[in-house]
Amino acid sequence: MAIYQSLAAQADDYAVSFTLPGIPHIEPSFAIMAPQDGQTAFGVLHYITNKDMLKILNSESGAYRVVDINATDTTGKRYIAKTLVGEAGEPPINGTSARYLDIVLEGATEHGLPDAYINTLKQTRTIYIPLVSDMIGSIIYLTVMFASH
Amino acid sequence: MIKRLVKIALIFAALLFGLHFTTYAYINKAPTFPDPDDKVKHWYLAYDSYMSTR
Repeated sequence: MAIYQSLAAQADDYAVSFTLPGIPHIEPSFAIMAPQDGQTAFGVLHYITNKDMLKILNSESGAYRVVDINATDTTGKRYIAKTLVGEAGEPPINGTSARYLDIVLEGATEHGLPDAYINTLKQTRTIYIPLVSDMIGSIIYLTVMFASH
Repeated sequence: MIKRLVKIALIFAALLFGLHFTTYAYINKAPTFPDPDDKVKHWYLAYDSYMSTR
């Protein structure tokens, strides 16, 4: 995937939560962004080709839909960006998997998202079952990789 | 003993394959994005694993 530019950004009146249901007790939930007045969703703007955008979409579930939103970078510059939104659900008891949260944290740290947001992510409840989580996580990783190529 | 181990291994492999195809079928219901031109560029706001460029 060719990424021409990446910028830390935020979208007002949206919120990201780990409430998209996954595999109970192993990969309990995934991140989903939904409209929410007064909240702010943090993420990274990537400038990519349509072809690569389709690769991303092919690795995502039908729970998301593509919308155009207004995003703002750290200098205050505004962008029209495409993103995936859906319906936020109830938070699962087990939070999300440690594997998934680690990947999200890696991206947030890499692109310098606000410390407060990173700290919020770090406080997300996670679950890790030795071997089982590793095996299932590997299958999901390979499946997503296969689907997005 | 070996027969039992082989049986367990086969059941385990079947479960893994089942899970793989279930996951693949689930993510294959991907959101659609009708734009035929591959070279057009967009800003895409990632808030999950795609935030990372590694």
